[in-house]
Amino acid sequence: MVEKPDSGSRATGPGMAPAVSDVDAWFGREILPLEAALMEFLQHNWRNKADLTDFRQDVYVRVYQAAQKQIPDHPRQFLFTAARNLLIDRVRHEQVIPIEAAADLEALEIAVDAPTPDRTLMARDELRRVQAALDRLPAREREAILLGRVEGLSRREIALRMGIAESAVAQYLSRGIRGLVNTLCNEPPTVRRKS
Amino acid sequence: MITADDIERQASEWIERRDFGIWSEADAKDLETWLGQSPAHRVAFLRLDFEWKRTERLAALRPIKPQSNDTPPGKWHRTLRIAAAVAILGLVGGVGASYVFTQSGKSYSTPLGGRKVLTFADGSQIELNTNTVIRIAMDEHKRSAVLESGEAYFSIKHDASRPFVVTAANHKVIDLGTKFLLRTSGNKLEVALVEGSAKVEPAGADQSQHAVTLRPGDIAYALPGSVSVVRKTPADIGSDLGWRRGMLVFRHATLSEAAEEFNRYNAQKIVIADPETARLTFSATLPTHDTHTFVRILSKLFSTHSQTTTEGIVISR
Repeated sequence: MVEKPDSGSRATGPGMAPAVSDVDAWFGREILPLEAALMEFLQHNWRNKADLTDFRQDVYVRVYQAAQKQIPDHPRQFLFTAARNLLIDRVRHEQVIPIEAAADLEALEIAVDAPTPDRTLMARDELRRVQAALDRLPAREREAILLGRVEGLSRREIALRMGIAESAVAQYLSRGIRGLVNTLCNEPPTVRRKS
Repeated sequence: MITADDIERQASEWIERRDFGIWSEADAKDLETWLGQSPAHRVAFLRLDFEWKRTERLAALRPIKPQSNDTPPGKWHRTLRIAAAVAILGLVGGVGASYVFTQSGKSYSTPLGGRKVLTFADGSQIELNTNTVIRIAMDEHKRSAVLESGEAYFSIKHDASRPFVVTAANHKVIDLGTKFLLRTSGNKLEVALVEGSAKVEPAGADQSQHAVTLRPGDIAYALPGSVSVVRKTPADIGSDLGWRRGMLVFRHATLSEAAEEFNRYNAQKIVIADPETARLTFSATLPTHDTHTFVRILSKLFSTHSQTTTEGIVISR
């Protein structure tokens, strides 16, 4: 048997950690597009919604750290296994097991396989989504982002244009970036209900 | 305790500084240090940066420099007044008739489910999809069209002395040697550039909006007062053109998108009963008129049920 050079991560032998840039690219390409599905999964299986952002971060850290050693072959499965393990850890940690959490953990395998809208696959929707995400920003943040992103102005130029302090612009921009990304990642694709 | 929200805020501040502030090599080093401090920092940054880059294509929408900058306003005024006088004189005389004709052109339309190919003397072709109304004016001085509603595929022979201009949903698309697809409904306009290049700009006289030059693979999405651009793969653009051979090509489309597409071609409408079902995704190539195969495939793939009502075929799980 001849080992094919294009067999991906398998070709990387034990002890040969993948390059940081490869892990980063893999993470962006394979894991981030699953975020809407991941959040749906976490939401479905955890009562306290305030925990979800921290959970998401913990899941990402687990996945990223594992990928630093070796890039997983099945990203989707890997991500959801990490999410499931995290939930189980938390349930144990909380000691009092919420009944619905315990019940759902039994059924997790099925939940993972349920068809979910894949964000990357919704290329058709992409434009509408960026537009809609922009539209949802507060007016000042949207203005700053548009001046920066569309007109290519610097923070300083935006400050002049908007007639406010540079520090305020920096705040609008960084908040705008967060708002935009969180909308893009977590919003399920627009579903128009016919009635 | 540092929460994920705190880390996310810090990550966004790094991106803001890098993209909009003053950024030196020392800053880049500081960022590296911060990223190395904790994997939580790194994943938060990667997530924001990766998604933020998706909006990068917005940068293509640069504003046009107002022309009045290079010309003294007084002179402009006079030129305009003379031009207006000439135009009025022209309208009174014999030229008027052809002027009016050029403005209105000839109207073509297709019914629901119809398709039509128009071929012009210069070799240009315009292919109309279902439920489309277009007015076209072609003469030795100018070539223009108004897409009133629906969808059309333009394959235009370039002629620098007579650029081809299509108006739709308050925007103008100016061909610079091109094949492109235009789709409009209400005040929305979608332009997909297949070959060559084209410019999209607002149709009104005085608007502070931007002109966008499209390259192959670009899709411009225009609403009143805004145009945004994303890139598609050739395969995706090909899918959008499936109707030219009577097919609908779905690539990871949701059922609601697919139903909407079928409903553009067929009198018997497909209604997806609930949001859950509407969100299911599938890939297939189906004839535009074959709603029944569509319904059958859905029941195979997702075990959906269908029921024919006065509203149409209702799909549920």
